[in-house]
Amino acid sequence: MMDALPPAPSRRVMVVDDDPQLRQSLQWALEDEGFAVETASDGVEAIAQAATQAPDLVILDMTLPGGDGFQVAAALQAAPGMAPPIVMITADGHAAEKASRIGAFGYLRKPFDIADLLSMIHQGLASR
Amino acid sequence: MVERLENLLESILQHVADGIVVRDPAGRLLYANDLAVRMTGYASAAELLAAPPTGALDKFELLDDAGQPLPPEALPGRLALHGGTHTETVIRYRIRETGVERWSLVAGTPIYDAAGNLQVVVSSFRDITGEVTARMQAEAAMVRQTFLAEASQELAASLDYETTLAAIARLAVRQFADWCSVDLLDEAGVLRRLAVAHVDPAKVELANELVRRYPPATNPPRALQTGQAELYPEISDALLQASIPDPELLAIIRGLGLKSSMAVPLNARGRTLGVLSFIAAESGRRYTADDLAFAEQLASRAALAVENARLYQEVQQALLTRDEFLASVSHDLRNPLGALKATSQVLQRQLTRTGAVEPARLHAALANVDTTTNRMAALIDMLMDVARLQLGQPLELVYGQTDLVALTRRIAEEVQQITTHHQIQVDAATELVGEWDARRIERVVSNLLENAVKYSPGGGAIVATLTRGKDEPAEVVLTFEDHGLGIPEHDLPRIFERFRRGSNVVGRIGGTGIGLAGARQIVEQHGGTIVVESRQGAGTTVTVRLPFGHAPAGAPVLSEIQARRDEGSSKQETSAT
Repeated sequence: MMDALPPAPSRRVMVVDDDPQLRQSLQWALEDEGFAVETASDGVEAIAQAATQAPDLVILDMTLPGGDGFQVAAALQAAPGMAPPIVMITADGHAAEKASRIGAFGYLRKPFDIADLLSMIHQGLASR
Repeated sequence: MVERLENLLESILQHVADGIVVRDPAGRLLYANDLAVRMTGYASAAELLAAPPTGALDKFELLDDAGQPLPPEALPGRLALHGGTHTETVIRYRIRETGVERWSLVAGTPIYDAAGNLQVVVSSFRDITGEVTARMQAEAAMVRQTFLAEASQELAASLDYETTLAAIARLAVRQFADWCSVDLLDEAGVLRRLAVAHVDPAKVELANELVRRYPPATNPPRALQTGQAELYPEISDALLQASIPDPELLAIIRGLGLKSSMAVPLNARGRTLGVLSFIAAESGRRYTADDLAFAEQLASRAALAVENARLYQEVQQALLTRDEFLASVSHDLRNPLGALKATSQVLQRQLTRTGAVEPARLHAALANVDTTTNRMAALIDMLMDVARLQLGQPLELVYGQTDLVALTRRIAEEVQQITTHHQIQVDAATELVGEWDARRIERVVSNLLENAVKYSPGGGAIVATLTRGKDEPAEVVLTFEDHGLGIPEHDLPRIFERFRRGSNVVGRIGGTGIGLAGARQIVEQHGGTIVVESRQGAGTTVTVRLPFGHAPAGAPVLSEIQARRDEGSSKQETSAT
């Protein structure tokens, strides 16, 4: 399925998570798939970067220092002409409810499989 | 024959259980038996017979059954003199000389001759004080029992003790008091008026106004301090003057016409929770030792209900915090697991696709794994310490030579990695070396720095300073200062309690509520102190004083191998990122 939909190299994915180890691993995984990857460690940084980089999709952790996932999602969706699909990742309970509240395209509970994440990213990009 | 009959009659009259007097139609006394002489307070029949017609009555204040003044014309004997028939009535009278009140069943019977002329009037008096008092006591006991039963039902009906106590105050004013008030100590130990009741809503309003102007905390009842019930059978003006220093308040209270009062403490499990007050005014009732005993019985039930309700609330709160804690711990464990899984899968995928992983990535990935497992181990260590804290067991500190400055800088670097809009700064001398449990002190420092980041969502500077304390014994003073949300003043006294979090962050910012409790446990076991100063909206400063520790004799020492291993892994940790 992934082979059927090869990503264009120009597709930009932003990873927002406060865990440096997870950021690093996701960056590798996504770069291996040919994505251009930006990372942000907190809400403020995420909003600032999104404004300049205009990512095609955002992988967003819900628990962040400096503004939680809700605020980041609201800011991303409010920015004119942007509203990238969001794939929510979280270690918390009530994930489905939170995902629907922030209008995420999909969500994954930590720990998750890279394959599931990639498949969700492809679907998210195709939905645009 | 006639004489014998008279003697017989005289003898009978002397032996009946009633006082008997006989008057002629003009009202003059003709005869009084010995009992009548005694009941009217004269020394002999002759003395009574010689007294003026109203002489006997002057000694008494006559009242009817309800306590209202009774004119002498209404007495059955007087009615009989003035053409009435046989009547009986209960008379209440107060002996002027002694003030003692008694009850009497009084009858008056006119005796006419065959022609219908009034011959004499026979009056009889039977003292029924004993019966009346017994009946009144039984009635009062019944009222109290009914009240107690109703009150107990109220108390058992709900765990909302504030509503329940207010209901009891309302019940009391219907049956037992003209005023009833309930004052309870709040969490901070301040006495607060929970309820006040009076049959007249306007008076309740007045009482509420008085509480606003003169809070009960400013003049707490003595029962609260002593834990003993207080009975004031008679509220004299002198008593009011002595207990109310404020002249304006004194004037208002005087206007209320208070007659008698009781204040009973709400005692439960050796503590006084508040005070229940009963005041008699309009009803003119006077409280007795029986009433006080009853009031204490009621108060002990009420106190138990309050205590149970509070315990129930605490248990509910504890269950809620436990659930939140479990959710939070699960979050904290899932995060590093997420990183581990992602790292291993990235390597697997690359191996599958290309048959090799370049050494640089492999090296970094393994360092990631190491760091992440360390994080999980630290979290589990912390959970174990929390369990010890819960069981009241001390930590087994593992002392080793540690440089607090290096330790703090390393943690600061690690915490800096999770944020870009906070600037963590460490102000310190070159080194401060002592003997501490390094891993646990690390946990304290990292908890305080992570808190500083977490609770200043707007970003900004976070400053850690380490200095050598000026006082003996030699100690290191560490301060951690942020300019974040701060902690509300009312939360500060309990912020070091397990599962206790600032009310301004609960539900907004994730947390377990065990960080500070654990930090205090560690610091105190090192012989140190930890203090939080905070202003909501302005930020927080935490000061830790840590004596240059010397491992107590016999304390286990961290093995050198383990120490080296820990040092090695923490170096990897910093070089990896």
